[in-house]
Formats: sequence, C-alpha cells, structure tokens
Amino acid sequence: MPPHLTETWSTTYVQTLIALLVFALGMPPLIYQLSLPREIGRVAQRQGVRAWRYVVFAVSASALASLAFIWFLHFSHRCFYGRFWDFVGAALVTAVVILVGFPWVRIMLLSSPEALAGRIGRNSIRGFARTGGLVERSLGDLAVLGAWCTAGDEKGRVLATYTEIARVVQSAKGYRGAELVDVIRGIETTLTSKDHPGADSNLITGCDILSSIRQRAANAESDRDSVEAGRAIGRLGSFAGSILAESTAFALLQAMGTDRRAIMGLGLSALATDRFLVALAALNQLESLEEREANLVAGKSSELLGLLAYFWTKGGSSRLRAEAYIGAAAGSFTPSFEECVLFAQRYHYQIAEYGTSDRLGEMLADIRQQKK
Amino acid sequence: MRHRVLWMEDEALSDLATLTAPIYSSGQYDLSVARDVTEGIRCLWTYEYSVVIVDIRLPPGSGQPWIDLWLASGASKPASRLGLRLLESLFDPASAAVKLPPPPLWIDPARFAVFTVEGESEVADQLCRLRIEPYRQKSARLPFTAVIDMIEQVISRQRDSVLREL
Repeated sequence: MPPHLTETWSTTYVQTLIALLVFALGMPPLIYQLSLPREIGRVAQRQGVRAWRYVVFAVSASALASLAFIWFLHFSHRCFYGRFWDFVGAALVTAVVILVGFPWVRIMLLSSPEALAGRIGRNSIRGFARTGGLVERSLGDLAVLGAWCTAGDEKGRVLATYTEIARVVQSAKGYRGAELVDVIRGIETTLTSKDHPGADSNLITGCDILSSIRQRAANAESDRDSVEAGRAIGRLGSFAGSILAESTAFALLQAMGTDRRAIMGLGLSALATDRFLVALAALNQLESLEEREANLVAGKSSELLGLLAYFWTKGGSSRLRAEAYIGAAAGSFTPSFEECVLFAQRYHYQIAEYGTSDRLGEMLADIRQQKK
Repeated sequence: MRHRVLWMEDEALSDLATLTAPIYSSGQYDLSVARDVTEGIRCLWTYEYSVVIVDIRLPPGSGQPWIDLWLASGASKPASRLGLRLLESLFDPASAAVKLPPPPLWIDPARFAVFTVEGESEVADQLCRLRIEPYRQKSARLPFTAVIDMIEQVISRQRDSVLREL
C-alpha cells in the first residue's frame, strides 16, 4: 500500500529528486571532462569503458533509494517512531549519495591513462596470442593515449605497456622482424608529442626500449623493425639534445651505445643550442666508437665526419676541437681523410641531409685552402 | 688509439659532469661511466680499460649481493662503502664480503685509482693493502682537471712500470 502524500510533500520530493538527478547526471560528467583530455575520453570509450551503463546504474539506483526513502520513511512517519527509522532514513540518504558517486568514481578509475594502458596491453597480448598479429586499432589507441597523457608516471605506464607488447611479440616463434613498426612509432609519439613531451626519465626509458627492440630484431628475417627503431632513436636524439637536462642528455647518450645516427642527432641539436659539453660528449663517443671498431674508412665514418663538420663550421673553440681531432687522426683514415669526407658528403646528400652535406663541403674547402 | 677509461661514479653525469669536459676536449680518452657497482662490474667483465677510477660511496645497482650489503649498512652509501667492497672483491677475494667470479686477466691494481669524498686517513690502510695508489679526495674547490689528472697519473705510472721492466 503506497503512502499517502500531500501536495506539499509530493512537490518537495519531486523537487528534491530532480535536483538529485541533475547533480547525478551533470556534475560528475563535468568533473570527468575537465579532468581528462577529450582524446583520452574517446580512447576510453573505444576500449569499452561505457559511461552510459554507469549513468543508467546511477539513475536507477538513486531512484530506487529515493522511492524507498519516500515509501518507508514517509509511511513510517505516521506509524513508526524511534531510532531504528532514523537510522534507516540516514542510511538511505547516504546510500543515495554513494550510489550516485560510485559509478563515476569507477568510470574515472577505468579511464585513467594507467588503467587504459594496462587494458590495451592485456587486450593486445591476448589478441596476439589468438591471431598471431597485433590489433592496429588498439595500438592506435595506445599511441593517442601516449601522446596525450602527462609526462612521468602516466607516460611511464604507457611505455611499460609497449615494453611488454614488444617482449611478447619478439619472443614469439613466428617473429619475422617487421611486426613492431606501429609499436616503435607509438613509443616515439609518446615521447616527442608536441603538447605533452616525455619527462627526462621517460626519454631514457624509451631509448632503452627502442635499443632492446633493435637488438632483438637484429637477427630476424626482415630488418624493418631494426631500421625503424634505429631511426626512432635518431629522432629521439635530435629531439632530446636541445631540451633535456645535461645529466639526462648524458644518460641518453650512454643508452644510445653504438647507434651512430642517434649520437649524431643528439650532438647536432646540442651544438645548435650551444650545449657544448653534451655536443662534445657526443663527438667524443663517435670518435671513440669509430677508432675502436676500425671504421675510419670511406663509408663507415659518415656520422662522425658529419658532426665534425658542424663543429668545424661553428667556428671558434668548436672549430679548434675539430681541427685538433683532424690533426691527430687524419692520417688514420683510409684511403684518405679527403676521400672519406667526400664520401660522407655524398652520403648525407643522398639521404637529403643537405645541411650536413654543405658543411662537409665547407670543411673540405677550408682544409684544402689551408694546405695551399 | 685512445685509452679506454671507466669512471665508477654515481654523480659523474650530473653534479660532476664538468669534470668530464677536459677528458672529452683532449680527444685522447674513450670515457665510460658506471653509476653503480653492478653496472661497474658489468663494464669490467665486458671491456678492457686502461684506467678505472672508483668512488668509494657507490650505490648498489640491481645486483642482489650488493643490495644486501647496502641494506645491512642501513641503506647508506657512506656506511656501506660499496666501492671499497668492490675493490676488495677484485684484489683481496679471501676477505671480500661479496665473492665474484675470477676477474678478467687485465684487471690489475696498477690500472685503478680512487676518487672519493673520504679523507686519505680513512681509507689509506685499505688502499695500501689492495695496492691501489692514486687517490684524490673530492672537495668543494676541486680543479676541473681533477679526473683527467688522475687518468694521466695512472697511465704515466703504467708507462714507467713498463719502462722499468724493459
């Protein structure tokens, strides 16, 4: 038997219910939208975080609790008194607040970049185990997530997901060496996003992941992943040389190991922004590397000579450092230092690095002039 | 051919980075940095170095025996002195806290030097026992050539020793 409600009570309840619904449906989505970039919200939707389910739940639950409140308490107001019914009333009001808030808290947790990265990683690995291939859409979502999440922990979680995916794919028997192109590009996007670049620690982690992808791909049937990872490290170097803290640039340089293009890229961007110690460390690393591996021959020392040419044409002390190296090592180049510079000039021209090619030309002209 | 140098120092790429500038400028050294004991051991077992400069207060890195040693000293770099423990493992294995596999043949006290914040009196006995001589204390007014000077000192001692043998 429903309780008898007077007009005044009915109006009060309806007004309260409407206010509650407006709050339940309006405020949390507003907070949700303000706290998450729209792009990440879309990724959450595509990854199956269905907000409408929680809205339906919130509305139904709060409506039920409100009805219960009216039914029992209004009715009991006439028939029952006492602490028990006070408690029931308080419990129902509290339940309404919790039931309205809970779904939104749940949505926020499921839509956090960390949770989404974990979800995408699990789905990708499951999909790979099932079909032997990575789902392009999931990797696309992970790339968007990486580009839009904040530097530090969030990007760290996205990178950890990429690490796990790469590890699973590369340890699979059927790995051919060309399956990780989207993963490599995603890592690069995560770190070099224009609006949300990675933190220093993220860049070092990213460089380590790319290096290990490259190492593991070295003996695969196709060299696509290896080449792509090398290029990504190179672009990372160029990106990092001018923006990173000196200590991080050094750490990145260490992580680059023998990746000549990456070292050259980092050295060039450091030199362009007058971060001479970093640029010098990069030059020294290339010099040591080529001497150690007996690569002072035409065709194998193009990155070293390219960076050296930038030092030369920068003038002043940078040029002195380049002259000192050439004075000491020119005799070790085979067939001759000039031949090696000419080869490097052609090489950089062919890969459309005209700036480097021109500087090599300038350096060679200066050296010839000095000889006269 | 440039000399390969390993500097085991956790602050080599940050607070002490300026000390690397003369090394890079000289163009005579191939410098590697190990920022903890585990990384240092990996380097020592992988490449041959002409000079190894060790800091006494090194962090443990990921190697479990070194982490245990560090934790046993209250997770303190000054108390655990892992750099010294490493030198003991290399040159006095009988009394070392951490036993390492036999080190590569090139590892010799004559190639090692110590660059640390500890005063000479605090470590002199141990270094003497381990036959490591070049030592320099870190201080606020450190000349920027401190590390390259040590490198050159070790190399010139090696050269003198070879000449004496001849």
